[in-house]
Parts: sequence; structure tokens; C-alpha cells
Amino acid sequence: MTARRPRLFRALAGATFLALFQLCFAPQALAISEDDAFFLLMRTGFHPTQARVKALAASPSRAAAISVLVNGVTPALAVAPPAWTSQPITPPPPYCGKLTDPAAIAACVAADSAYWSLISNQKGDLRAWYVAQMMASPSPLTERLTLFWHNHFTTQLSKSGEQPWLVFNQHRIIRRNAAGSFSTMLAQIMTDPAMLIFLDQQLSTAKAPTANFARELMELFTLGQSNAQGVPNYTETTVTEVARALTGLNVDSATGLFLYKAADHDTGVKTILGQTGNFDYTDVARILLANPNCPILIVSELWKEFVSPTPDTAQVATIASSFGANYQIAPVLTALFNSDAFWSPANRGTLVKSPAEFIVGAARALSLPNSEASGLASMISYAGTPLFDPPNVRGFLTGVDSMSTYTLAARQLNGSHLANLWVTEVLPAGDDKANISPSEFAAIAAPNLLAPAMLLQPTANITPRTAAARVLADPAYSLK
Amino acid sequence: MLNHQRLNRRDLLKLAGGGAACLMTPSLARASGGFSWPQNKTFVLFKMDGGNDGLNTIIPYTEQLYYTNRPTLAIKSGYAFQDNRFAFHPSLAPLVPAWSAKDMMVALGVGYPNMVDSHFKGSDIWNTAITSEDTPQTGWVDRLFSKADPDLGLPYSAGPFDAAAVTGGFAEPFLGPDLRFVTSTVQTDPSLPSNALNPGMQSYASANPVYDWMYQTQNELDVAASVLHSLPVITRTTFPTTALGISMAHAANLIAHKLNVPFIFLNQSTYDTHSDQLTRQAALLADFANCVAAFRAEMIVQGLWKNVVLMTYSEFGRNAYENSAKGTDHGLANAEFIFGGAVKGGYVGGQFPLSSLNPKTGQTALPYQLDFRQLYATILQGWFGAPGTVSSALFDSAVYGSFAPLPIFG
Repeated sequence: MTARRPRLFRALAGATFLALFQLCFAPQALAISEDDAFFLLMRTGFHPTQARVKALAASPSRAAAISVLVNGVTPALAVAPPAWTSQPITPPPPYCGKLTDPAAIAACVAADSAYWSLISNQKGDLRAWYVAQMMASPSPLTERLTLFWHNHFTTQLSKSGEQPWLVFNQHRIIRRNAAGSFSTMLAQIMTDPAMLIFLDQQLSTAKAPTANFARELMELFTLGQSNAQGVPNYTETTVTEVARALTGLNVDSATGLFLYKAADHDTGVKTILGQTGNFDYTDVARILLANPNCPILIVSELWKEFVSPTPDTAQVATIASSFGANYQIAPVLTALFNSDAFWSPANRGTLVKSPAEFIVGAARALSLPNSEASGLASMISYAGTPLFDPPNVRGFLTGVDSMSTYTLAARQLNGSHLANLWVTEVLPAGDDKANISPSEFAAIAAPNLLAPAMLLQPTANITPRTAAARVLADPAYSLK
Repeated sequence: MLNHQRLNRRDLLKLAGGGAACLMTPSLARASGGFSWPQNKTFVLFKMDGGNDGLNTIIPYTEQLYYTNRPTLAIKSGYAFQDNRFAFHPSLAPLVPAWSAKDMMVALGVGYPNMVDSHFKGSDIWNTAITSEDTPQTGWVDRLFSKADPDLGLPYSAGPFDAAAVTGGFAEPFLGPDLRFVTSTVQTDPSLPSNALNPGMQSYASANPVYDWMYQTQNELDVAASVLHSLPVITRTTFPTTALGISMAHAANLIAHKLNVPFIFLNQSTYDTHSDQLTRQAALLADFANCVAAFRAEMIVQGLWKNVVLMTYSEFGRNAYENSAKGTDHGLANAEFIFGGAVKGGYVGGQFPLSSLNPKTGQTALPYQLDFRQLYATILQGWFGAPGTVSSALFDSAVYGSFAPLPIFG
């Protein structure tokens, strides 16, 4: 890992060795091989098909290939979302408690029951749609960014009061700004009903401000609890003051839309991170974005998502200083993907695919039909990471922290389900035969399932189903 | 066979990643008060998935409201057993010998404060034993082994794994990074060891600590699975040939081999009886009762019945009022079973009378009286002999209060 290299060596390498190296070998070193293309696609998207690898390997350079991917990020949808997402929200039925007439009670209870089964169906629809979208997306980087931002700006679909309709609107914010402006995304998230309900902000008033959203806004969404030297980035007083400034943010329960309740807003003077004034939520956003710890946190998180488990603090600081000036995300991606650390052999295979990446990547590599999306979404849930429903505000565990005998067994089981789907839904009936040779397997599945450098040397002839399941069960398949 | 006194995998990763040698503290030297898992004691977690209808299982047959609230679903006769408070569902007849021998307890009104009636949230709460909105991602059994929490971090068992799912698939109470898990669905094929298929993939990812971690975890799983798959059948009881019967025979066989596996998970699905409940629940409970009766018989044959506790759980009980589809919708508190040669028998907990409900205020399901965490704390302390600090840390007593053990055992 990068952190193991002594600082002095790194400085020397940066200053002298690398310059010399680039001078002599730049054209060859920066050209893109199929191996490089495979790595780049897997790191920034899902497990790629060989067609995509070959297409990208035709790029004149790594930088050119990276431009193609970063410029390809788009909010356009490949799969239409469920129809209810474009209709008004279905408000919860009224409380039955005040009724006295038995018939009215029965009708009220029936309406309540119907509402919850509707919500349950919508949750299923929403997850299946997301998987189908990820399977069909022409820009896997877009999808990876949406997964990343959902694990940053977390919201729990299972929280009572939360609704699939609200969570889809949050998804729109995330998708629209995935590689765009972080400051715009933050502003929209701060008035996003799903977020406000998730962190109890709609209950906060001038008389009784609640600190939940204020705290997570700073700790998880913008600043981080402390800086690289371990110095706290804010105090408990800051949390209280921010909570006061955020009062007024609310949700119109009838429409599911943002509502600013000026009457609930604390109009007093607050002091936030050294600034004093009659601040509201827009001032909070402005102050947090102006804090140098904000771009550092975001760039560090993007580094951990795309480069290596251990961010290089010096390089992060460099990228963060320009990011903090305009909060454009795409240039950060470009800088990270072009960094030496990104391409360093020492960092290859050090990131762990999330269950969503594992399953969607395999589904794409095996050409599974989009009609399987609902089942695939359930597989993602069984692996412990239900879409839109992290266990808490910190989001799903990532990397080795998420891997255990249990979660590896879950991957094996999911791999086995995926192999079954491939045999039954994709392979021509004649190919579903016992015992193919390694070369036959390579011809059927290897082009999309294996990296170009990978050898395929099974010790015995096996069925296509077993072979595919074995590739997916290989721990190396879970790495990127 | 695995060396269970080895460094834990996280330490190895840190070492491989260049961490300091001071991390080489043996994992047994933990703040668990010198606790080690007692020899060959097993707790079987049995999930009645979907939400069993406790009111039609342990029936408050003396309450007139039971018949009023459930005009088509109330069970009026043919009870397997009855006393002056409750009657048992007719399908439970195979369990009456266990009840009479005081090998069976019925826990009444089991739940937790502010119960939820969502399958997912309810299951999460039972599986993690954390009742807040902020459920952790790890199951409560895994957290017992948590290296990150100084008050937990119980040592590994003396067995080849700590927790086994024999029904196949997943066992959420075991989800997490710390215990050694195995499931019967892990396939091992001696002709095709893991990683043999594509050495190229190995070389692609090898020589990095993350891959080492994955590879070691994989080996651990493979070894555990090969142990699980290679056990000869030494049980002598004929189990039902249902899917559940086959799983319970596997569980009994695993226990009979005395491998020192403290946790086993079993699952029986489709208790979510929103419609046609009478027929469906009768079949499910009959399968359950036949399988548990066979399991008990086998454990007695093996001389291990005093070493086993089997406890059921559902994500919630069901509504006290039947719906229009001759079924019941999601409710709150529930009745659960606890079996074992070491339990005292009889009832534990309590159940509010149906007259305490008020549909006008939306109270159509029984609230809880007995917190399920108190039952788990009892099993941990009174059964496994774990220090009380373990339950306090596991169930966050600072927030949720202490869960004193109940007089369930011996």
C-alpha cells in the first residue's frame, strides 16, 4: 500500500525519478493495454465485458480513456423508473384512533393495510429498477458514483415515515449531481425530504432544536469529526449552533415536498466555526463548504472508493485545494484516475467490490436479462447490503471490514445463484452439458468473466455452471 | 483443522500491511473474564420466519374475546394440551411429552419496547438485538466475538467454527466480521480446490494484504465446510422427510459429533399467514412439532439433551383480530418456545388479556411484556456461563437497562 513507502522515497520518486522515467518512456508507459483498460473499467465501473475492454484499449492513452469515462457520466436513465415516481406521493392514511363507528374503523384499518402493502411493493419496484438501471447503464461510472453518494448521504428506506417515493427523489438529486457540483448536491440534500425525515430534522423547532441532522451534516457529510492530525473539526457547541440555524427545514406531509417553516426558525444570532450572524441553513452550507476540511473529507472518501484503502494525505490535500475552490467533482475523478497511485501495481486488487458491484458486475458479464433484476436486488439484500437501506447513518461497511466467513459465504451462494441463472436464462440449451474443457469454458464465458491476464486452468473438466460459480467464488473476483 | 488460537485475521491483515509487531496479542487474552465456551453446549436459534401467529399457537382459550375477534380463525377444540390459562394448537401434540417432562417452556408476550410490525425492521431488531433506528450491520451472535469492543471479544469456541447455518442460505444473527461461520450451502469439491480454476486471477490480485485476508477467510470457510460435509451420520432417530426435517437431522448430527459448536441457526419460512391461515399454520406447526420431537428424541439418545437449548423467534406476532381474507396481519408481541433438557419447564413472561386491546385507538395487537434480550441474556449467563458484563455490553445496558437473567435453567 502507498502508506508503506517512506516519505523521503516518495518525494524523491516524485521529483526526480518519475520525471526521468516519463522523459524516456512516456509514450509507451501512458499507452493503454487491454489489461489497463480492464483494470480501469473494473475500478471505475462494474466487471467489464471484453467488448468494452477492447473498445477502451483503442484509446491513444490512459488520459484519453479516462476522459471518455468521466465525460460519459450522465443523469439520463437507460431504464424507465416505476410509473409511481412521476405521480404525486401517496400520503399515509389518517390515524384511525379517533373513530368510533365500527364500520369506519374497519374501513380505516383496511386503508392502512392497503397503504403498507403499496409501500412494500414500491420498495421492491425501486430496488429492482435500480438494479436494472445498473445492468443496462452505458456509463457504469455513473452507477458507481450513485452507489458511492448513497453511502455518503445515507438514508434508510426502512425508517418509518420514509417512503420509496421520497427516496427516489433523493436518488434523482444524487444522480443529477453525481459528477457535477458537490455544493449543489449538498444544497439539494439539505432540503431533501427523505434526508430531513431520516435525521429527524422535521421535528426540530426554535423552541426545541434537534441535533441529529446538524451533527451528521458535519461529521459524515462535510467535515469529518477530526482532521488528519486528530484535531476535532468542530465542538458540541458548534453542533448546537448549527442545529439552531437549521430550524425551519421541514417536509409537507401531504405532498412529500420540501417546506420551509419560517415560524419554526430560530432567528437569534449564532456562532458557527468562528462566524457570527443570524444564520439559516443556506449560511450553514456556505460556512461548511468554505471550511478546508470539507474538500479533504470528500476527496479522501473518493480516494478510498476508487484508488486505495489508505489515502495519501499529501496528494489528497493537493487535489482538495482545487476541489475546494469550485466543488466540481469530475476534475477530482480525472485527477484520481490519472494519479500514479491509481495505476500502481501495489494498489491493484486492494479494493473490495460491494455486493451490489459483485452482483451487477456478474450479471453484466454473464449477459443476464434485465427481467432478473428483482431477484438480483434480493441477492444484494441477502448479502447484508439492501439497496437504499444502510444499517445506520454511517452507511454500509466497505473494504475488508465488510468481509468475513459469513459475507464470503454469501458471495459464494450468490455466485452459485448467478451461475444457475446464466445456465438457465442465457446459455443455449445445448451448452448446458456436463463437463466442458477449459477451452470450451473460455469460449463460452471467459471473454466476459475473466480478466485478459487470467489463465484458466481447471484441474478437471467441469460443467459450465460449476465453472462460472467457481470463478465468482474465487476471492480474487471480489477484488478490484 | 483450523488453529483457533491463531492471530485473528484482522491482526494478520494489519501485520501484513506493515503494522507494528505489538499487535501480536493472542486473541484469547481478551477482556472476557477468562470465559471459554463450555464443552459441547449448543444454542439452536430457530426462526419462524414471516411472523408466527402466537395467539393461535398458545391459545387464550378462556377469553371470550378470542372467539369474538377471530370469528373464523379461533380454534375451538382438539387442543394438544390445555390448562387453566392456555390451550396448545392441535398440531403441537408431538410436543406434549416434552411439555410434560418439563423440557419445554413457553415464553409469553415476548418483544421489546416500541415494537415494529415490518418484516425487515422486525427481523433486523431480533437479529441484531438492537432496538434503535440505528441497527448495526452485525448480528448479535457475531458481536459476542467483536474484537472492536473491549467488553465483548469472547474467544473462539474449541470447535472448527463458532456458528453454523444448517438450513442453507443466510443466518442474520451470525452476520458480521468476527465469528467463524459456516453454512451448509458452501460447496466443496475436492477435485477442484478453491482458486484452482484461475491461477491467473490469483496472480492478478496476490501479494497484497487485502487478498491475503480474503484468501485466508476463504480457506477458513472451505475447511469449515469440508468438516460440515464430511460428518458421517451417527444419529439414530428417523426425522421427518420434510425440508425442515432434513435440516434438523443435520443439526442433530452436528451436535452428536461433539465438535464444540456453540451456535446453530435453523429457519422455517412462510409463517406470514395473511390469508387462509387455519390450513397453512396447522401444516407449519405440525412440521415444526414433529421435527422438534425427533430432535429431542435424538439428543436424549445421544445423552446431549441437557447440553442443548433451542429457542424460537419470529420478527413479530400477529394481529389479535382476523382480517377479511381469513388470515391475520402483522402484530407485535408473540409467544416463543424454549426447549432443552436443562430448562425448568412451564411458562415465563406474561400476556395481557385481550380486553386490554382497543381497536378504536389502533391497539389491535398485544404489546410486549418480556424483552427478548432478557431471554438471550439468560441463555448467555445462565446457560453458557458468560459474565454479566457480556450481556450488558451486548445489549447496551447503559441505554436499554440491564437484562437480569430469568429463572429458566436448573
